[in-house]
Amino acid sequence: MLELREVRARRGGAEVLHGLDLTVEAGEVVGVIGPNGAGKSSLLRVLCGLLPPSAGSVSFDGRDLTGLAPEQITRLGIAMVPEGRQIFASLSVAENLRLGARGPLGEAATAEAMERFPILGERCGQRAGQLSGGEQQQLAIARALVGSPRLLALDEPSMGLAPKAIDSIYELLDGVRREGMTILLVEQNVARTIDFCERSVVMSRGVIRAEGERDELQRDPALLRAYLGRQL
Amino acid sequence: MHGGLHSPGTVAVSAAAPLALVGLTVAIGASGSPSLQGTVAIALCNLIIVLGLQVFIGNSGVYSFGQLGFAMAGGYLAALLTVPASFSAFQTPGLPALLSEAQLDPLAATLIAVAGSVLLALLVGLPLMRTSTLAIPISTFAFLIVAYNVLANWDAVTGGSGGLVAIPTSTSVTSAGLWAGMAVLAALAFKWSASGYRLQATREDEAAARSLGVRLMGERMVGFVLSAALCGLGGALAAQQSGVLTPNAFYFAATVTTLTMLVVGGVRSVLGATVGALAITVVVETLRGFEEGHRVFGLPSLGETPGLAAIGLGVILLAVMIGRPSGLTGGREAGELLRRRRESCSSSARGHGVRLTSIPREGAHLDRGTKRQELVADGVSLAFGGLQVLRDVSLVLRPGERLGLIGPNGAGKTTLVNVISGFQRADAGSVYLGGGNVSGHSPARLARAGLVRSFQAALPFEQLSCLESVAVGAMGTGAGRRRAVGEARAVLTRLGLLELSAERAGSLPAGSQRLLGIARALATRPRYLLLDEPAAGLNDQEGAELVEALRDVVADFDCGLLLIEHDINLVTELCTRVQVLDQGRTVALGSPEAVQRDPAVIESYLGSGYPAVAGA
Repeated sequence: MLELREVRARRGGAEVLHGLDLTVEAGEVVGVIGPNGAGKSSLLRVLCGLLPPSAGSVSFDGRDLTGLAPEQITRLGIAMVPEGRQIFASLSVAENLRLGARGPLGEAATAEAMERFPILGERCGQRAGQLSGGEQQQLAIARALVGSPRLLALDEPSMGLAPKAIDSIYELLDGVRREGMTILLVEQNVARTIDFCERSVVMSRGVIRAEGERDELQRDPALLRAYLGRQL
Repeated sequence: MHGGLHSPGTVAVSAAAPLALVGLTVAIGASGSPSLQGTVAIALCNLIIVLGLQVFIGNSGVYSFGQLGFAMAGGYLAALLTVPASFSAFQTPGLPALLSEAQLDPLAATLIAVAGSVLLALLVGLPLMRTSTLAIPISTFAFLIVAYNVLANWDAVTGGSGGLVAIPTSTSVTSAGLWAGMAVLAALAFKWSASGYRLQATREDEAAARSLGVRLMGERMVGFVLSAALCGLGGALAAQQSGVLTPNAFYFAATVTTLTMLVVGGVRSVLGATVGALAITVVVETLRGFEEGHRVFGLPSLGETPGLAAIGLGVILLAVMIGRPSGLTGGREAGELLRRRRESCSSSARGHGVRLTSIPREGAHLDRGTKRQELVADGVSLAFGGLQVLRDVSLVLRPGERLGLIGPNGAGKTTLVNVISGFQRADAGSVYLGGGNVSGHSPARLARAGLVRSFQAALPFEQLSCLESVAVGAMGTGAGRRRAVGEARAVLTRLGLLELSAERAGSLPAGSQRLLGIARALATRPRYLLLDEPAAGLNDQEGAELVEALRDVVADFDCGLLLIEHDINLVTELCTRVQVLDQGRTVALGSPEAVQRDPAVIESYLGSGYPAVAGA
């Protein structure tokens, strides 16, 4: 479904992705882990069109994404839940959701989302900035889902959340996964990621160094430790 | 000349490039026809004014539309001081005898004009710099209008809208060039001074700068006054070049033109001001030639085309804004451009990344002999609208202690830190530092007293290098440039960031930007350090390395640490006591182990799945 081939990208003059290959099949849930500065966020930025690759190709359902603007990529069915949530703090919860939905079915999709996320339904008239961190993260995910994407990309959904709030976010994501959504999850919380994803890839210094299925990675912590701590 | 923040080569090239441009301009002008000489001399006067704009706008990031008012002041003062008494008698009959009979030599008149502009800037700046960042463009514009109308309507003293004539013309291409060269050096020296860095820090992020002890209004005032001095100089020289002066000379049109020059060249750099001023002058003068129906550079005449020059200016501004929004120079000095070029050729496979484990311990022992006492928040309450965020919360942080502050999202942790660090006023309750009541003190004042916080978001000074960012921390609390650089290096070494010194803070990955935020705070030599989720964006192993580094650093720097963090393992590792907030109240306080066993804490914060998940 999603295929990155030999992707290179530069940020602030320096190359941050050095020829990255990644394939995600429809319905698959893939985690991306790696040390700070490995290029995980750059990978997501390339995927959703915020960082044009300097070489290589990105295709989604056989369609070339390179050169497309972020809004065009969203229309093709890739939704991003950005790091730090980035909800529209001064708009109401309902307005935030409405902005994520497109087309004539937007109202219906918004209503449906509020049924599905009861807390958001209860607080639909409140300013989004007044929600707690966990609720804001729910809103960010809901806002991505109302556009009916086929691939959901998440950047550090647990960042800045209390343990209990992290639990409820992952419960929610579990529900999304059961519905068959394809998910690409970037997370610093390694244990969570490996546990949640069928397959995880380990990035370091702009390329993928290792990958494995859930069981393999859980059985072989040495593999992870080799890549996650100090840079090689 | 600039102790360590830039290599001597970078400094030399950065100064040499704009000076060479000025020199080239002088060489072209001095050998030309009298009319070319006049054009070039005026261009150099304009350059001095544009450099004046750069000093304030470029370093503060705040647009002022009033700086040409100081060029008016300088121009009129120089004119009134030099016009022969016989002309003053009918031009400006109401002028006090002291001025009308004075007929100073050009240099004395110019210097007095600059001094007058500085005085005026002090007078005007005191109220204007108090207004908010968004209000300064409007309030400075108001000043420009007032200045113009005083000059245009006070006929007896200023000659009114007709202006002044018979000003002795003493400004030559060479003298204007010399002054312009000095203005270039002054603008660069300010940009690279401790004061200039503090001002640039406010441009990059107001809140972060204030948290490091930078006094927003004071630093803006310094830039505003120096800017006024250069604008006054440019105005004085221009008046003594053309021999006539009307209030219109430095009004709307001149404001627009000089601002365009600065923006086209690149607001943030002295090179940008120089390139912009000279390039726009060449283009405008060429178009003006066409406009008047002359042949220029051997090109055929278009006949008279009024407005061509103004249209050209607009088109250039648009094109630059679309194609190169940070200006032709990208807002960088020549040395920085050169260094960037070299680096981009050799930057392959350069990994950032945190390296916290192999930290040398030497060189960072910072001695603080002051007597220390506790940081106390006493009975703090605060409501936003109808929402009670803090309810009678008290907190004690002892010298050298590491206290964890945890609780669900929305419990009020960050708000409490905001209150303690002066970013938010409480409805009730007080904060004491070293025994004194510091409630309501500004963040900058508290930082200078040794209470410094970091932010949940990294708030990097994007355009500054890592070394500069951390040095600003030391400068904010009063260190000079040389000492600041030394401390910055020591702190960067301790946090394993030294090899990133020359990188722009904005180009680092998120986790490193957070570390840089901590480094910045440490460079202030805090007595109390409040960290808001320092480990967010780091993985477990990096988090563990951060704990080690923080433990060492806090012990060496001998400061109390308040740590907001959701990673309970990290809090347990680092903190000796933990305070738990829920819905604005303290619900538990004790050792990390005791707090984790507290049923109320498990219920509200950790969740029933704990410790199965957290221990994984």
